[in-house]
Amino acid sequence: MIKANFNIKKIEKKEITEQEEFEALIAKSGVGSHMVFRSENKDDEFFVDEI
Amino acid sequence: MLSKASFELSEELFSKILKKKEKMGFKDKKWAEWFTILLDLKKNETEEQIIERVFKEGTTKYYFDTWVKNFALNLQNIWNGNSVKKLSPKKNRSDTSAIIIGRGPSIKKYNHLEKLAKSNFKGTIICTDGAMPNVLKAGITPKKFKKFFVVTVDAEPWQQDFYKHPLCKKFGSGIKCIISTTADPKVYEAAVKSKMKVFWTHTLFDYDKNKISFNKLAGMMVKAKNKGNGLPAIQTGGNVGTACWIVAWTILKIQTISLIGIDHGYYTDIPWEKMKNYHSIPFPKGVNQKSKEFKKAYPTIYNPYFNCYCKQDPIFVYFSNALKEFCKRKSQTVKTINATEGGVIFGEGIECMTFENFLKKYKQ
Repeated sequence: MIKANFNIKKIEKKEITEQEEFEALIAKSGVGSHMVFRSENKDDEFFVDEI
Repeated sequence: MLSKASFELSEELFSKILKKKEKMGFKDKKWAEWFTILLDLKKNETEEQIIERVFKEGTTKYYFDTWVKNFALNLQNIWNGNSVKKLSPKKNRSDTSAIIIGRGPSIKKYNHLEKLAKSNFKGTIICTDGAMPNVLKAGITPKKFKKFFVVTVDAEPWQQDFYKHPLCKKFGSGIKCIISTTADPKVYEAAVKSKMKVFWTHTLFDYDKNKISFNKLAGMMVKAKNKGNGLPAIQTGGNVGTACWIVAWTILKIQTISLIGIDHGYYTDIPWEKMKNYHSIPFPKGVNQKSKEFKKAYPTIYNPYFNCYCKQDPIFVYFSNALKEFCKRKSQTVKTINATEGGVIFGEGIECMTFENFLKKYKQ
């Protein structure tokens, strides 16, 4: 068996990260008319003959 | 340090954990970094993916209820109406081309509507709903351009105003209107009042969620009273211009598609605060325009094909990322010619030329 130790460190979050700032800018800009659709089936992403 | 945590593992299990950490690319990196990704606390996303995720969340939150309401109110007309499938020829059309008409700033700058009106173009016109009044005013009408389509995918009630122009009533009987099942019912009413022939299509947004998806439920509801016949569903790319491009090759089977008025951005001579935002949303206040993150979210792009600069807001970045990707993915079978003469739609799978050259080369 292996014994493992983790030291848990408290981090005071003072500033927003660059990604958070980027996301906030995008969110503040509004919404488009509709949505880009994504699917695991890439052919379905463009068009489905009948749903 | 707050506390320590200790635990025991078998060597076999520890070995598997190490292998997983290595496989995920974190062999020499800190355990905390790996755990952050493993537990999905920080996604390993590209900027494009971040933009799509944020807009997917925002758009769903903003529009979902409206889409459902509009679909419910449209259902009777959908049951009694025409599927967009009726517009599909049996084979792909390699003998003709289409022009998608948006309302980006380049269309006015380069008098594209005047040039088209004077031309002998015999192909298909696919108009975004917002561009339609100016298109008709310019003399581009079904009287001269027999294959004339207009597309609506937006859910807002004010889209109906595009169909209430007096010229829509004058020429409506020659216009085929392709409308999303989630468009406002007043748009359908206005199109019908203008004597347009209306064809319905679903627009894709959550079809991948299987039976719990609204797209799936909407599809089932259409088939419930339609002799089991469902409607197709199209990608919109977030906006009606990209939806028109999709319609051109998926429904109308046209393989050469030109774009005009599809800038997906603004000319750079006006500061953001003074710009009349295309999306009718005021420029956010208190934003640091010198920050690195602002320049990523609101980039200025140089278009080498038309030697111009174009600035974008995040919504246009969202739209253009998708359209450029789609054009590249379909470049083997769909020829996309950007004749906007401005904007940001260029790159692999997109041929850029002036609109005059397009009209000379693709009259038929």
